[in-house]
Amino acid sequence: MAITTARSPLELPSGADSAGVRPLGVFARPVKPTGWKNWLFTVDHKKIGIMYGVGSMFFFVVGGLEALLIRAQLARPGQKLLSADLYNQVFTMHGVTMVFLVVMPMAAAFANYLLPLQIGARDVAFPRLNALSFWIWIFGALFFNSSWLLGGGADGGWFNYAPNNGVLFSPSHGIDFYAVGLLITGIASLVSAINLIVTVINMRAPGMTWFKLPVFTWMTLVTQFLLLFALPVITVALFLLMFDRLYGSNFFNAALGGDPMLWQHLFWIFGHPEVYIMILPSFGIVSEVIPVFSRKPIFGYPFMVFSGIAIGFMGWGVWAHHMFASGIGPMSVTAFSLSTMFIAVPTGVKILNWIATMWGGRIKYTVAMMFSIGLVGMFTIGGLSGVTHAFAPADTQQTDTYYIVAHFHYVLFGGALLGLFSGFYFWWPKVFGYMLREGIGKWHFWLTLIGFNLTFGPMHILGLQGMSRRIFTYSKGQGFEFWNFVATIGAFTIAVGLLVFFYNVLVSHRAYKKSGIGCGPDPWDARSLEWMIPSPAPEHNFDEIPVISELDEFWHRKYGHDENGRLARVATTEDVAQKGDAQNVHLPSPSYWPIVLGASMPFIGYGLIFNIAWAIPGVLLLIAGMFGWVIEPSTDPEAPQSHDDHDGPTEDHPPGLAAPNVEGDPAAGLVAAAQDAELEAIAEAH
Amino acid sequence: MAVVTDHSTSEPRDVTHGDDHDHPTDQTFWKVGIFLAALTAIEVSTYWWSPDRDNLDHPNLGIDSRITAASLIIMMTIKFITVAMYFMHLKYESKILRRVFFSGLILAVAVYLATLSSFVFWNNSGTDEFQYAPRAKVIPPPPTEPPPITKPGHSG
Amino acid sequence: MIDLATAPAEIVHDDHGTHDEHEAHATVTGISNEKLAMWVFLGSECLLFGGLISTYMLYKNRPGAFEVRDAAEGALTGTSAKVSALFDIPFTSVSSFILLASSLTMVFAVTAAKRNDFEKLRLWLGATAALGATFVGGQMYEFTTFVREGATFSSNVSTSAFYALTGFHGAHVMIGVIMLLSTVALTFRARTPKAESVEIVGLYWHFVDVVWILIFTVIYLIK
Repeated sequence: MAITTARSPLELPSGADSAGVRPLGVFARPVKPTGWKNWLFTVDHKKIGIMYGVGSMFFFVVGGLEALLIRAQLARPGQKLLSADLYNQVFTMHGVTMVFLVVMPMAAAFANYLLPLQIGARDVAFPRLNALSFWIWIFGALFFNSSWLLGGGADGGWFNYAPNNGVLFSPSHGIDFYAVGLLITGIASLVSAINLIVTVINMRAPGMTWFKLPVFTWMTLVTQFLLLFALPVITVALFLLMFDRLYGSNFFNAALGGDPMLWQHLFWIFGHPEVYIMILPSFGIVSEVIPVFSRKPIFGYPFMVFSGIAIGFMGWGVWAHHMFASGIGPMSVTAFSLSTMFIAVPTGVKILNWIATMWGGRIKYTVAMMFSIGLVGMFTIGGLSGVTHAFAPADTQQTDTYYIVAHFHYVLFGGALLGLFSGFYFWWPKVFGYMLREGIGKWHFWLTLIGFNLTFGPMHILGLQGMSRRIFTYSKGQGFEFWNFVATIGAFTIAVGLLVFFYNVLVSHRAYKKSGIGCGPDPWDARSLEWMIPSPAPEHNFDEIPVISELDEFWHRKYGHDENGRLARVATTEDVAQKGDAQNVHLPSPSYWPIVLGASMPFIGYGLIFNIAWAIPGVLLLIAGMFGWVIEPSTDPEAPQSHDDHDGPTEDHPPGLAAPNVEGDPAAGLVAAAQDAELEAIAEAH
Repeated sequence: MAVVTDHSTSEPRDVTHGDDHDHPTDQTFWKVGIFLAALTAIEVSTYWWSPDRDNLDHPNLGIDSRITAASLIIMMTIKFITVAMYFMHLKYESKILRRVFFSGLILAVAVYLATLSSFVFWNNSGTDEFQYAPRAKVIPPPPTEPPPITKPGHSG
Repeated sequence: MIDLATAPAEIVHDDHGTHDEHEAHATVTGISNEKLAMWVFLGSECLLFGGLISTYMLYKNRPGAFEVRDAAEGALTGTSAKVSALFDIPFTSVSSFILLASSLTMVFAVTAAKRNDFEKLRLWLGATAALGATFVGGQMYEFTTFVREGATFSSNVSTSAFYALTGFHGAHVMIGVIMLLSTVALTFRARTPKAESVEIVGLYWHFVDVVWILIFTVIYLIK
């Protein structure tokens, strides 16, 4: 009997290869759809990652336009481009967009694409849930932004303090959109966190022990735990806010027994881990990029891992440093001031380790490397101003001024965003098969770096001179004119830089389409597993799941040491990289239900805010979607099923064990034996 | 032949899903259930241990309400751990499940206790009025007597 | 020698019934992805309920008196600023016992599933769902009584916090009942649920019970 007729574990016991009954009897399950349907119903983590990337880039433009409006309004004193009310909406939407619709999903783009590749898996633990996260996020993002067209955007600041967030002071629906919109996107992130945590714990390749994981994987894992535990707290806060605004409770109304401080605590218990959620993925990206372009392994790998865990852990103990001026009392102020000073330590460890990695290395100044070095520099500046905030007496002067605005933009733009751009340049070839132009990229980098420093550097000065935040204009003669003007110039410079990036994408893509010459699996001579497969990554990721014996496994398959102990190439990339030509690897099938469930969210949202009748189609979609999902098998029994995929130890064929659930099939034993032999061969080669 | 060597810090592989050793029988579950019910009965009985500020006629044994509260917290913790360990099978599972769950629980307790502590919470719960902590000392008002008027040239 | 310490371990499933589609694939820890995911989720739920419980604890003694009426006749009996003044501990104790019993029946459902005893499985799942529904019914009766007595959602912050917390818990119980009944329905189809699926539903159910243990003690019993 040929091996390819080995009985599929998905076969029904009767031996039929089709269930004969269609889930819910309505739609056929999508099987290998093409074109746009391929994207709408995909459960492939790589496509989902790309969709997160495109979505977050779109919202980066939206948030960027909002920023340009702010800077245009503040370029000169007394301008009337934006009214005070509109200004409140613009800066609030800018903040919420950048945090929840740009930095978080951009990091999710990288996490989704890379995590399974870096741990040597074929996909995440729950592919349909992964798609669900994306669709819920995008529908939530669009829902939140629809507030612009439906009565005005949220206008209480991204932190949305009580009592200003109540109906008395913010009667428009903007904050209702804030509450419901963030509840929706919160579901997306929570589901994704559960998915990625289970993936990293349970689906690592054989031999991939904890301390062989790439630093990016570690940082992403810590981020997911932060999301897992922080999101429920803001969920409580948002529900209480929603109850206050829609159902007449008084959770945050001091006049009737409520306490506005409760909002602040709940928000910042989420909010502080949130800023680590935003920065840790970029720390991970930079920890991948710098070693590759320094031709050295990351300095102090265990310290990088432990400092990341320490940041995640300690980040829970500092939240009230956002509340030093809110009247929390001297005991609390002291405690949180001390804990905030301590948290600078693990971050400092990372900065030192990145510098030590570069020290003595053969640096290659690619655009990806430049952005990463940019993060190291800019985040250090932002971190230093952060340390000055930790001293509560100093913070009392700094808080609510532009000094704080400078700090968080240095760490979020100069830190998180520069890191994400580094990631774009670094992994673009893996995702799309061609590299972005270095020359144009350098223009992008310098325009961004100079523009960014012009915009936010002067804000340190403005803040210490007393310019308050969140004001729509300022008077002449206070001395704020010059630096505000400079900051506006800087902001438009950043915008030009972004246009250069889009131009780079266009030009590079066109050149690739014309020449048809791809970059190959490993254009950077990199270290981790994702570079061991073709570019773009094949749908099934690995032809055979690699067996890992050390950190930077791919690197060590390419390089060994000669007699003098120096680095020497031992294998060509062609020999080491996989060909990507495995056939009919069985993969989870596409599904309608994630997008159906995602689409139910805006209806429910509009129902809560406007007229409950709107929620009815949403609830129906939700219930139908959930039941359809539960009944649908996670892999379509009718999808192509053969085992001609020369897998190593993997889901169906664990090493040394017969394929599970195969009854009386002599071929299965042969398959298992062949794979054992293959494993032996690999073992010998090492 | 694939040999599973154990040089790593990974979890032990022999605990698959708890079916091999020490799996609780139905009898064990009955015993645990009865234990929990008994504990619940004691908890309910605490309703009559201490006086009730809002209802002065409430029959009670006169036990200090702090002792009652402490006993309740202890019993609650025992019940929580019992349900988690036996009914939810944590006692027989790989330690990673325990770690994931208890890290969330401990984090929640720590963070929310810290938050409540920053409010005026511990000393004033149970009072009828909502009190702020006492602030600065009250400065006595200036004396209301006007200063004596002395006309020039007059004596006493 | 390759370190195969993370060689995926086969998950032993002792359900000899029909195989579900996404079959036992090996995982590093030997625990199935679904079970691990449920525990991870329950870890996050601790923070959700912790927030709601803390909100109640903060607000239970806040000012804002509302009128209290007699539930039966509607006559004004006084005012109160505390929802706890209306608690009926004996009644709620019965509810607590019911929910506790439902945890016990759930455990028996799981052992029945592991033995592939579908008859008993349906019986115990049904019993669990019935007890859970009774609990929810008891909660609804309790709430409507409080409303008749004058404690509505927006009466004052203590009532709001109380209803928010117990409402969230009750919603979780209702979702659990739906999951239980769905599992029962699945036992009638060609694809019977794996024993582990029942166990995972059970984990959720026990968690909901455990949260009630917390709520009953902290909200009702501790003064």
